[in-house]
Amino acid sequence: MIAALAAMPYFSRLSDEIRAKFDGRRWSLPAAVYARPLELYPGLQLSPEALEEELQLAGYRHEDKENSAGSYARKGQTIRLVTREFHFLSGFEPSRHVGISFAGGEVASVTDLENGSRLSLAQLDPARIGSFHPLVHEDRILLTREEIPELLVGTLLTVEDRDFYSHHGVAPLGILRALAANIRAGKTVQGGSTLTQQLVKNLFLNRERNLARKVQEAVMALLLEHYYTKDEILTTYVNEVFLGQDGSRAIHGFALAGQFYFRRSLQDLRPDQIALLVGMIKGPSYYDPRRNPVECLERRNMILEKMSLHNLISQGRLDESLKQPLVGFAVQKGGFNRFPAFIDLVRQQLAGEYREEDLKSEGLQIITTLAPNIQLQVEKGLGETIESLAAQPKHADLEGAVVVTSRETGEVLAIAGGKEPQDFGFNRALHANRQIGSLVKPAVYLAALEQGYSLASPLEDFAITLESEGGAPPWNPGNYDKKEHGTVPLYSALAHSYNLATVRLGMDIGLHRVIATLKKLGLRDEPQPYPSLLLGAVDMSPLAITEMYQTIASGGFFTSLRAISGVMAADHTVLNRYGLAVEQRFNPAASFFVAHAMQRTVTEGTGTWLQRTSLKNHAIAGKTGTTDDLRDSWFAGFTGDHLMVVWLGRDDNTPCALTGATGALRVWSNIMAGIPTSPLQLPEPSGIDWVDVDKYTLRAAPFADGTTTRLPFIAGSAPPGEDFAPSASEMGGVGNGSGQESRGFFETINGWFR
Amino acid sequence: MHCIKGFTASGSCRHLILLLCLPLVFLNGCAALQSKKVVPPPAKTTVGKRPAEVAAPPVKSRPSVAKPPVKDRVVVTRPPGAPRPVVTEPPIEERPVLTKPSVEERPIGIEPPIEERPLAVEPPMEESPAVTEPPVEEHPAMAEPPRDYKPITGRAAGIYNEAEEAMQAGRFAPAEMLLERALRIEPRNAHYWYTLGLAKFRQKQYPQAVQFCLKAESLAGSQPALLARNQVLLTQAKKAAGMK
Repeated sequence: MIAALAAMPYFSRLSDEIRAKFDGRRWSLPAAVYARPLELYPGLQLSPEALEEELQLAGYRHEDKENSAGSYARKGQTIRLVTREFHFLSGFEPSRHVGISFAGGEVASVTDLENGSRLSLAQLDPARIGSFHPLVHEDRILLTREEIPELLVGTLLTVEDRDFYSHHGVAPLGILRALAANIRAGKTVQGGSTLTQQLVKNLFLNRERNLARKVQEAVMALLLEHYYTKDEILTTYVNEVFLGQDGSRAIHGFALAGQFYFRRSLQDLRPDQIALLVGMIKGPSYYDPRRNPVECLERRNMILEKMSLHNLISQGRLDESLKQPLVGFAVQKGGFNRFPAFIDLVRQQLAGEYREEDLKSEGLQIITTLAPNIQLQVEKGLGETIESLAAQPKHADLEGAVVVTSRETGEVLAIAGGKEPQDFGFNRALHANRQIGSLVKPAVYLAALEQGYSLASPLEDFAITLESEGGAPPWNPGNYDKKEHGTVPLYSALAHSYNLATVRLGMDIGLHRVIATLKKLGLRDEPQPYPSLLLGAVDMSPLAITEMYQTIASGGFFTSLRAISGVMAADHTVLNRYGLAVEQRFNPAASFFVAHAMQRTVTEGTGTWLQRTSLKNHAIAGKTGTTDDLRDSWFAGFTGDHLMVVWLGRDDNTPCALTGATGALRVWSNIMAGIPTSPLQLPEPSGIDWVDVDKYTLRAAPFADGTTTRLPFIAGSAPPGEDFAPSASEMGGVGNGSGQESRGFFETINGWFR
Repeated sequence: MHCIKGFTASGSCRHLILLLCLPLVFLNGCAALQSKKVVPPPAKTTVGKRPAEVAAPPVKSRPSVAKPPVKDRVVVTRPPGAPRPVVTEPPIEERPVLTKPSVEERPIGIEPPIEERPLAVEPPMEESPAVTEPPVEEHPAMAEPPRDYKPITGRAAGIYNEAEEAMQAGRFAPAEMLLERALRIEPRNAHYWYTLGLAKFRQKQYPQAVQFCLKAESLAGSQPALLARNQVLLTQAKKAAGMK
């Protein structure tokens, strides 16, 4: 009695420790990160192969017949599948049995197989693409007691702790039994530990094994039993138990193990699969079906026999289960931890909003904007193109980065942080700040167009010397081809990326206006007002460039790039939703004109290489970028649906011998050709006139021929025809902005004299 | 191997001591600890569900995740790039709107007065065929911006119609989510952008309503009925936002 009283402070301290840790630990759940849920609807450009790939990433299993949630079957141009229930940001969706038929690379129909009705839309539960691990890389899916199948409980208790529901944390009888067995065998053949003790050992104690530890373990087990119910302890055990390793990720708990080893939810596991998992507890590495299939199978069958012996399964089920081979453990094609570059961006966008430890322990669910099909294309296209380029020694050690967004909404769909997608290291898309070169030019031209320049405004592409302040040598910019091109129309100077014309234009409108335009586009830094800024002497990351080009691509509307749609708590209530927000920063006409000039880049300028690809009819708008000594190769461009920015270069910033057109553009086109994307149709603002302009005189031409080009103008501001003076401005701007519907030369004339 | 042997050797000792300890712990330990039972164990039904409903652990400090109490939880919508206050953020209308050219400043796109518009049947929307718009309302200065309940067809029509239902029921947050889904499928459908503007207007988020109207306008092309309705909403949203 006295000894017991003396030990009281000890118990009291232990009990505090246990309750703190047990309560905290039970819920220690890393935030789960999901890809965007795939919406299936008739008309969606998607091949059955691409859908299969998506399903694989989302952990669906391929079966001859889709029987339960998370399985699919394919027959030619039809895929039938059973979705898994999921809590979307917009609410809970139960499991559905749907059929998708394809035709011509499109979804032809979506059918509810429960009742045969046609659906206009089906939303798939998204792929889980990662989680925010604690330092020890653990992962788990948390279950409630009700969610644990009784067969698993029965098997677990039969194998590990037969007296679980009757003992008080330690089982003297079990210990004696184990002791006897061990003495008989001369070594440890049976553990006397109860589930509670095992849990205590996993939760609170290190691997050290000595007498004091064992006493502590036993006392803690007793205390645990005192404070918590059997079901709570059992549930925690089922969620906690270590069941193998997936690279750096530790698989904890039966639910995640079921998903990892069998692609099934726990409720879907067959007896042989339950037996296998329970068998692994004894030695998750030794009985790993991937490593030691023979030992694993032997132990599984032994456990199946026990299950039958204790009437957990019938003789028939036993015979059937014993016959099940160990299959399907080979290559896991799941999307988990496949996209570290994207997860980086998610982490960056969450930083400051959520504490790191909460991301690791609070079971948050993060729905992102990642489009796995596009991400896979990005990784493939970047890797392939770099590999083929690097075949030439001068392009050795090439690295790259890619960002793809949706053109109108600014959602980040895919990111590559380097040519090796599994590289968890330096993420170039986010952190490589490189000179942007000619990618700055659309900002210069946009500033000019806002100032009233037109696409046909004549620019002087002649040599220029700019005096520097403070005695530095004067600056003599030159064109890439070392030539002067004379008087050129504004659109052509941008399409051909003429440096001299751009510097002169920028100096005419003023560096401050160019800087203001860059900031309106989305530049977050304050660049130095040096003339060299006009040729891109400013460092930016591919992601930052993408945000700027997003403003151009979406018609002058700025939108912050978003990688996250929303965050839910562990109970699926929405904590934060990152909704669509836009802000008009440029007038629609100026945005339209600059995008049109960027289309000219592809039809007649530095990006004509695209005309030789399958994308030639996509009316792509883009801009190449090349920096001094060919250190950086850039291409930024957009289709109807997607904006993509590609950077190529070397990490040590030495020349990579590539221009924007010979490097980044190749990557861009390789990737974009593999993505279902619609051609670009720029929305035309009202009050626009299309006028045929003579390419040499830059005046309206009476008819279109080989020397003319058709350009859009603000109604009434088109250049006058050659023999028709006075000009519109001399006429006092009659018809300017009056919304006239004139088209072509003669209507324009009519407009003047109206 | 050596270590396992050692474990076995100590095993017999351990068992003896444990057996001795057992009654002690039970008779004394538990009684002594009874008084410390401040927090009852969590109810069985909530195990594994959500931490917030379970009695908070007594020692571990709870996280400061932006996690307001369940009942008062408000879903906040905001661009991720906006400045981030710790827990709550200012309502959207309070955020400074950086540049917003008023209609007068924009060199083009000045709409003729709505009354002058022909009451034409609207041409089909680019991605939602066979839409017949109702005639433009004749009184642009009405107190409430015009609404359009007419179900439409198109790839995202199902979602859009759901969004309309949610709007009519006054459930604007779900409506917004549905409209954003619709826009993912038909990103250049001016009608959806307009409706998003309407959802913002109804929630008194006027500056964002203005922006969505501008976006709708930029994509509306030659849809006079939609343009007219959008113009009315734009004017009212600007007025409500204190803009010209």
